[in-house]
Amino acid sequence: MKWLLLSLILSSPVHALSIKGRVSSTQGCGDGKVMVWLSKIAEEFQQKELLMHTLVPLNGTYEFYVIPGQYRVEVSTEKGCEEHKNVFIVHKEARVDFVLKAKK
Amino acid sequence: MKYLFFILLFSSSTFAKFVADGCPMESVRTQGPQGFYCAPLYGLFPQPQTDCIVCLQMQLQRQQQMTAFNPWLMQMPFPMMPPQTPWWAQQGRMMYPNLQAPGAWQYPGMNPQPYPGNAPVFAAKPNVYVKNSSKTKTSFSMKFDLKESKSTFLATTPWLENNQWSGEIQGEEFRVDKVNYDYLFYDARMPHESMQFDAGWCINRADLVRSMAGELIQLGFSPLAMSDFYEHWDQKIPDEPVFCVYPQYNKELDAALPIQVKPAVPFLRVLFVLVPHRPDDKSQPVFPPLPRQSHFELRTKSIEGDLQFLEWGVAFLDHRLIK
Repeated sequence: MKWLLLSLILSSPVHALSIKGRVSSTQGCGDGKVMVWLSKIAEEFQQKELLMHTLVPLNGTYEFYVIPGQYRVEVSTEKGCEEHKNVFIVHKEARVDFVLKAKK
Repeated sequence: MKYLFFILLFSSSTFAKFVADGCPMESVRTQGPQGFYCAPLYGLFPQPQTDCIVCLQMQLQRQQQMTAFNPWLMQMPFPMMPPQTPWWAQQGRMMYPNLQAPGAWQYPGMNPQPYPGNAPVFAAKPNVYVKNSSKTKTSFSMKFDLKESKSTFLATTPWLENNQWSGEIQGEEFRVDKVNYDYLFYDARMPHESMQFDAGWCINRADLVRSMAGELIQLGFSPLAMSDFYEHWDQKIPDEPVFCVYPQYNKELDAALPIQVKPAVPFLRVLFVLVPHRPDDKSQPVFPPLPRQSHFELRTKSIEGDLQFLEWGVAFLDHRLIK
């Protein structure tokens, strides 16, 4: 299985892939901006390594250009709403939307 | 005491020479209260306290720079002044050990391994702002020309459609896909061949952000753009003692990553390429050389018109390029 994944990664074209999405929220998360964080998930990293981040207004969009691999996209607001999704990207663009909800 | 001060000040001219043009070898351009001057790079590093006369001269000189640095900037009201730690930085520090770096960092520059593309200049967060003094609504588009460029995007907000943003300008905001943005943002890797590495200045970390902000004020950036600059770059520059700043303007940036804007309004671009230095680094690096030339003549002339686009950014080099 590992070899299959590896060959898929190596055979994929060397053009920029991307993780893109829209960020919205329900009530309770404020109407300010949302920080979208992209970090790399890898066994050799003891801790997450932050690669990029961007402030997005509510209902706004973002796009990160990446190489094949495993990533974590996290979103957070000043009011403390947060969420994350893990993304394994090999050769296709990944769409990662967020609808933030206030913690109960 | 006054006489002693003047004697020290004038005798220190051996080490700090005010110049309009280039600096002699063994020195770099740096910035102080009276403007730019030449000084040895080692003079910019924090010095251990001693009672030697040369050290006393340099200590006095540094104190003078610290207290009188850009007094016109210090008098400006908020939001020209550095803001409190932003909420996202407080959260980010708890989540990521490398929050204070611009990304994957490997002294003295960026670690390119986790990113797509090959170009060595990591332009982190060029932000594009609009000045719209007439407040009229108008449609706009900004298209990046990647065909003739070796540049690669790393991130954008909002996302691009066919390498283009388009929408409407409402007041001093961009409206794209029914959402208002204070600014349009991108991260990109750009080629270094069209950029200049002769002119600029070196300065200690404590004064670095303020010195770049001073340049932005001279170029006419808005209070919002200045506030965002301080908020972001106060947090995102590694804690190294000294940085050399190589400012790139329209000429260099239009060659590295051309942008077509419609309507055809004045568009001012500036990108500060930063290279850190430690006391044990080479005194005469091979690349980039220490900046000895004035950047004044490279500046894009200030732009005019009811509608203007202005872009600021800060960049770091692929660590393998620095020798």
